[in-house]
Amino acid sequence: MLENLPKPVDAYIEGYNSRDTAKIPPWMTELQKLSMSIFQSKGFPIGVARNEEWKYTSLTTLADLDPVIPQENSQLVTDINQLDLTNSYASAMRIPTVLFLNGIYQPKLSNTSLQNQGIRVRTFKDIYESGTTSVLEEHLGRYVNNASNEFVCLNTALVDNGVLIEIEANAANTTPIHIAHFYTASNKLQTTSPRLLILAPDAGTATILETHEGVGNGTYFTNAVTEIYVGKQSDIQHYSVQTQSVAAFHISNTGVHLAADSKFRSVNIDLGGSLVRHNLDVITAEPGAVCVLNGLYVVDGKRHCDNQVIIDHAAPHTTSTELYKGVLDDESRSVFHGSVIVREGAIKVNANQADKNLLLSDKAEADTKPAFWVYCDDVICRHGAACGQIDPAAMFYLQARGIDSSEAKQLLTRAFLSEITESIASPDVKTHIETLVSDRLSALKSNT
Amino acid sequence: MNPLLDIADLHASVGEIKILNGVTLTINPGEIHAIMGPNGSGKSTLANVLAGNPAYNVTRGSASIAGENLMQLLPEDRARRGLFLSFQHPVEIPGVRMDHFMRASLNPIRKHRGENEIGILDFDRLVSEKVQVIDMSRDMAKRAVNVGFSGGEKKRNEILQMAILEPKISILDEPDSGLDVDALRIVASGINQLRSNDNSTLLITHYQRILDYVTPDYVHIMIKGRIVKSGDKSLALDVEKSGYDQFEPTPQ
Repeated sequence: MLENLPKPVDAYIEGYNSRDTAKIPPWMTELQKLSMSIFQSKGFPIGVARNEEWKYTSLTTLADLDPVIPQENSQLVTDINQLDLTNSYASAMRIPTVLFLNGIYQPKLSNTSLQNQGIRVRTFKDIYESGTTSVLEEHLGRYVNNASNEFVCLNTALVDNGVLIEIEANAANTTPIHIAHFYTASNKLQTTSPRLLILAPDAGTATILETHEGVGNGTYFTNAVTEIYVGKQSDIQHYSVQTQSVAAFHISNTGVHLAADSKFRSVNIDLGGSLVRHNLDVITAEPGAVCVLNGLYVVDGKRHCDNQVIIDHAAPHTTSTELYKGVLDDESRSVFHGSVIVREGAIKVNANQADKNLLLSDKAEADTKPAFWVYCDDVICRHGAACGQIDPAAMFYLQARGIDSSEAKQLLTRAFLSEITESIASPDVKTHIETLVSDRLSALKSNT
Repeated sequence: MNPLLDIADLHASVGEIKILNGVTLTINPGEIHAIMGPNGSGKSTLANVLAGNPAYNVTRGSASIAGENLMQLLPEDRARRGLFLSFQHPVEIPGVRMDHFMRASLNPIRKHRGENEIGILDFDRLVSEKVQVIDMSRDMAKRAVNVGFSGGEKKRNEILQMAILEPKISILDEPDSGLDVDALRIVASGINQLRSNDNSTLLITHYQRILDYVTPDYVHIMIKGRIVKSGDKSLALDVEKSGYDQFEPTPQ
């Protein structure tokens, strides 16, 4: 019985104990120690520990695998062309702001100097090195649940080198800040803990692109945490693109704090991975905050993609718009669990949520679960969910115009997802993602 | 010379319901044939069956385009051989732009005709020229397929596609339904401009009024899935005056 299995955390504790701790500041050492002990006491949410949050997603396979934490200096690359950039936003002409290969920072493949843009990008290790770590100390772990979320705690405990992006007042960058993660094959469960902290305390505007790319068919486990503080009148766009291997495990926790009159837009794209789980928690903490959360996923085979989005309207006059769309083929499965909380006194909140799925196969399954907790009158909350197949009338219309059935299906699935890709404001990122989505859709069995 | 469209004893059904009960019709190059009939007589079914709509089952009979049997072909292969269906209810496709759609449509048809694929710039020029046929702005090419189009715009859009694809045989399924008189004139004028000695048209209509603008060579009356009477355009006027009852089989 599952219930009798031990909590499989020993190997992670071993990884934690064997870290190089020489340069880690004392406060971080304490935070990591605390985080590890929380993770240790909770373990994976499997067996008896499997709660409502994990109802539709089983981590049994992941928990059975033996993790290995990649070590620094083992994988330093000097030329970006050594990486397979076929499907990448990165190129020799477009060096990422920060590039990680299997969790290891690659200074030669990164370009952190964003001149005159009022934006400062540093790695945690650089910050430790500088001796002034107060910014990190003040903010790290503050915008995610580091008190009880097992994967946030695991990330904090194991994080080797994260990235801090500081956006100055009135900064307005034009080119996206690109945080690129590449993953290659490994015979063990290579486990990485990408960590990103974005701070825009006052009227700063920036676009951040976070990519997680797999090269080859390796099995690995990415446990990412991103924290974003959107200060008053700031405007942050966060694009996250996951194109990992068919055997990859990807868990992410993103926490966003919105101050007065700020704006946050996110587009989360999942085109890869075997088991994918995202927790996105947004709090609109002060009046005038607006968030637009979009997501897109394409799953086939036996892939599984789970999005858990919580929006906490803690202040009046705040707005949230949420639209997730998925295309599912074969025996794949998607989960969307969207929660909207409207706190007492949060009048004039406007919350819209929708999840729409296109099922290309009878065996694919999409579970959508909306939940609204509204403790205030005088609010507008709407929810919509849809699951459907390709419209045969549209298919016939296209075919009657000479378009063959596979192209017609690709056209219609692409059109279905275009509502999400159209929401990407950065033209370069949009073009890149449209190509990725289009290639992914043309590779689906039902579309050929 | 082969007729452009040759239909012989065509029977078709939807599920258990028989709708076409033996349609026979021959259309030669340069001809316009009108099929008229009351609601439910099978006119739209005939159009859909000829275009290969999988919702209908052909149970007997045949149809060929320029001597080539259509019945075993997929809808797209029929279109590539020069068959065009103007839909009674054109489908809205959010997220697909008109110009992308029309170019995706034209290129396989051109390829089948042995012509080169058309590039984006040449295609834009072609659209600019052809929108004049239906008196529309070329801006429509940037809109999503039929999304937000008025009833009249949808019908004109069908004729635009016909102008761009240059089919051999056009089956126009009630291109006049729901149109006001101005839109009707534009649609009819488009049909007339595209008429040539090399192509033919099967015009399906419920009312005589479009035939005031498009002059058919033949008029056929369809009742209960069969053509019960054929004649020239005066037959349409007859319908206008006395209705379809006169063609109904006498109860036994």
